[in-house]
Amino acid sequence: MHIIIIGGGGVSYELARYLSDKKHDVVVIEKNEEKALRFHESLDVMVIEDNGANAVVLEKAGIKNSDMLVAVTEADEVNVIACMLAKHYNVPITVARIRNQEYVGASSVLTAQQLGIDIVINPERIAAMEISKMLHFPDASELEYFHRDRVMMLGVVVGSEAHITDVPLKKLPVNPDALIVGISDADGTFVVPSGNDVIRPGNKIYLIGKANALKDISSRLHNKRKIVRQVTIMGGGLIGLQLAKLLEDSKQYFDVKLIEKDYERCEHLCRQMDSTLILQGDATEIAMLEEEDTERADAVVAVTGDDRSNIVVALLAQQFGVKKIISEVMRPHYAPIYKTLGFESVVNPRILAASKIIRLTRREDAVAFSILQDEKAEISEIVLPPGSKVANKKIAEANFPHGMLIGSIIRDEEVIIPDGETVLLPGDNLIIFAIPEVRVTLEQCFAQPAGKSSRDNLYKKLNNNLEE
Amino acid sequence: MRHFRILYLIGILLIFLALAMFLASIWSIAEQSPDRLAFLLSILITAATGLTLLLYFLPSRDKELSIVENFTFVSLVWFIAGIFAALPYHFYGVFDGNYLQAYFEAISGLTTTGATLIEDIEVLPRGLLLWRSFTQWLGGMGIIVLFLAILPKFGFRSMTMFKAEIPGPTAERVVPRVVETARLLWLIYVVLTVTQLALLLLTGLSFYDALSHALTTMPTGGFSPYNASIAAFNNPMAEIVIIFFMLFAGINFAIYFRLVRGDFNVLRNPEFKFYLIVILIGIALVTINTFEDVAGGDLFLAIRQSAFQVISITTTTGYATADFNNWHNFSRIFLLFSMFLGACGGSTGGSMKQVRWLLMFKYAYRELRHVIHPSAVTSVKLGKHVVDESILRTTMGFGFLYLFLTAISTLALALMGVDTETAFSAVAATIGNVGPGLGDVGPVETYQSIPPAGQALLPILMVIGRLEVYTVLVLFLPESRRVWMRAIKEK
Repeated sequence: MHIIIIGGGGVSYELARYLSDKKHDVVVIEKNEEKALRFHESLDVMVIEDNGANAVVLEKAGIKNSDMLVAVTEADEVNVIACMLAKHYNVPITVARIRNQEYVGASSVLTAQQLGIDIVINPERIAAMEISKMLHFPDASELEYFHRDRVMMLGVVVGSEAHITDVPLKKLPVNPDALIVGISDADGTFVVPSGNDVIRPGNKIYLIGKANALKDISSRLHNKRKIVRQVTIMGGGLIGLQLAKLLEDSKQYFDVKLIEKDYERCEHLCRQMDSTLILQGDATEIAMLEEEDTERADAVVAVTGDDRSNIVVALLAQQFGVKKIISEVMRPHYAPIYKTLGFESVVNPRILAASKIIRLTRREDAVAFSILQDEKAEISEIVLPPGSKVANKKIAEANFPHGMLIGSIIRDEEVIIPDGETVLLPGDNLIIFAIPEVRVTLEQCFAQPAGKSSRDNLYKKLNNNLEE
Repeated sequence: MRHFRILYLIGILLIFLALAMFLASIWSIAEQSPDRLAFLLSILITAATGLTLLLYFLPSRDKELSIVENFTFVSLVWFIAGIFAALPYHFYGVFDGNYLQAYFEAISGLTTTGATLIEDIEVLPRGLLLWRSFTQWLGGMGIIVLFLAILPKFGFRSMTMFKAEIPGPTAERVVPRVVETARLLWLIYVVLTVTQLALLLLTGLSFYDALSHALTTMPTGGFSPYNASIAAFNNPMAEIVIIFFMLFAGINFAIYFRLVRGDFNVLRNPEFKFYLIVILIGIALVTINTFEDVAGGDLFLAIRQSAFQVISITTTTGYATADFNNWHNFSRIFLLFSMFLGACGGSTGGSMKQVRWLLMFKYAYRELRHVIHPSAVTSVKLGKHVVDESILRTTMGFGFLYLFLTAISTLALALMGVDTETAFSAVAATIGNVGPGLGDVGPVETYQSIPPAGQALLPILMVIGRLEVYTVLVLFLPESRRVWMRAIKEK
């Protein structure tokens, strides 16, 4: 596959590294000589030092035969123009990083598609959303929403006092609102459970079910019921800003403080926020943290944009006895250091963005698609096509491969937690939890028998390639 | 000589004033009433003075007026318009040749205050009383705004002038051009006035009564050709119409413009909401307070009277359907403090304006929060919009100057021998362009009890209040004085 990446920043580096490892032809276009050199030296990719929003340059990069174009320069406008040019050359998939919501957000007249962009990506926003989820569910280690937030997938580490441990699953009372779809050991073994499997304390279990019910269930799996209320965000960059806004808009009440060094940035933040308290000062100053009662914060989020500051902030917060500390990791090779220091909740905007691009391109038939953090399983939401092999069959009789479960069915806007007797009807939205090994078999189960468009085939090719 | 052009412009203004007098005199010509001569004399003097100025001073177009000249012009226009608007009263002999009292009455009209010196109004001819109402209607939307709407560009700083006369901390342009904005404001004003006139006719008022009150409701004026004000009709339907139009007059006119354009989001405007809430709370409190004593347990009467008085005072109109001076002290003082509230910015109402109070509350709240969060960076917001620090500064300064002037003027009246309650409420009611106060200047009294020196001071307060303090006070800055000293020497 031939892939053009425009821009030589962090996201593009992660993406290029991954794709070239998977033996794709990657062309990186970057104006800055220094940045370009980094790609030259460490990756097996072709680098063109030029402007990516230029047809001549794109032709030189082989746009006519490209399968995908990813525009992730710092400038939104350049990314948009690059995608428009790419669509002109009939590049099947275009991805653009757009930070300014005014261009493609709800207030924009033009949709992303009209601008020639198939997938819009905003790394800071993804990171902010990820952190926001962690704050809403401080005890969940993984969380994903499906079908307009009505269905939820939750990964929780089971506490020792939870009443569901050490009993085979089939002996547990049936919960009408949720299903256990995966169990992961501390040593890394992962099973899609059957009736005989047993949950041990310390295991991480994955649940799929109705969003409201899962909140209850998750808190019952813990010895302590934690609700985050006081949040202190250290750093008012793009992540800090968007996170504060997400928390302001949340139905749950948060008392948010945001500490930012630069006064003018503070004023800018102030204009965007309603209830968030913006404080001007150095988040790594103990006096500042004491002045603002940091020891009473339920959560501290370190998003200063600099690993060293983040680490210091996180350490100070730990010193103050803050229970939930979330930190952003800028340089991927720093991630182990955070782990060593005991900070479990880390977010890396670049890797998040890069992996989102990779994920989104894997399957087109899925309405939504997600992969667990350790890549042990995938969750996808699909609409069951009328002609598929399993339509109108009971789940028990559908002959599904081992290693997958249907977590929820949404039929006529009603969430159903299925069992073996549930009949699958065409048009149902299915939330499927499956290990990667069974994907091909699954696709056959749900496939539409009629011919496929060339675009679907291309995605298939892309999928297969990425799987290598 | 640039200051000559100011005189030229004032000449034009006087011609307009003469035209307005002529319009009002039509009624007395038709009725063959005895004030025809007074009108004829006044029109002649005003028009002649205007023409002289027009012919003597040429409209030099060399340079724009400076900011100081602009403010001088706006202030002068109001004081000079008062001099000529007082002529019909003077020539008819309403005040037995006391020109100062005629001037008081004229300025009270133009600034839409509604304070009166006429003890028995019903003996005066209708044409003259129509002129009295008409002065309020002219002054309501602003003389300069009318000027801008009708006249072609004269090279003056139209936005500076516009700002000087439109009440509120921020003058909004609803359309890009100032002249167009001025025209639209007047159009809305005229449409609302005509609507009210039609509705009042439907409630059974005579054409003359309906017209007099339509002319004084929309400008939040408060002059009525009856001694008992609106109570003279004892017509609940007419009261309801007037209640609503006083309320409408107190709303920012930009809101109407947006509504006509189909933008219903403007109803979520924070000042508009604050205005309605303040008025509703006021009505509720006064109703509860007057329920037993005044209304004798009649809930409808209590609500009707409270709503009318609260809205009339808060919007700075100044009509009365009850003598609130005899009410329980709580209601009296509540109404007295309501005089400091005023209507919305950008309306025809006077006083400090609701939006300024809203900003001052928010500012104070912010300062309180700064005490416990010394490093906080905060902004004051109205709705989703951040209010500029410069506007906040101006607002705080305005609040201070307004209350300071109130205090000084109350002291001055006290020195003249006026009692506390009368002195304070007279100042609040004139600088706020309300009209009736408490004590000897209550709703059924006149300002005759105020000594002559006070009768000279209060018109100045009315103009200062109408032009929102800064416009007049900047003229007393040393810098402005220097500009004028130089101009006089050059001459």
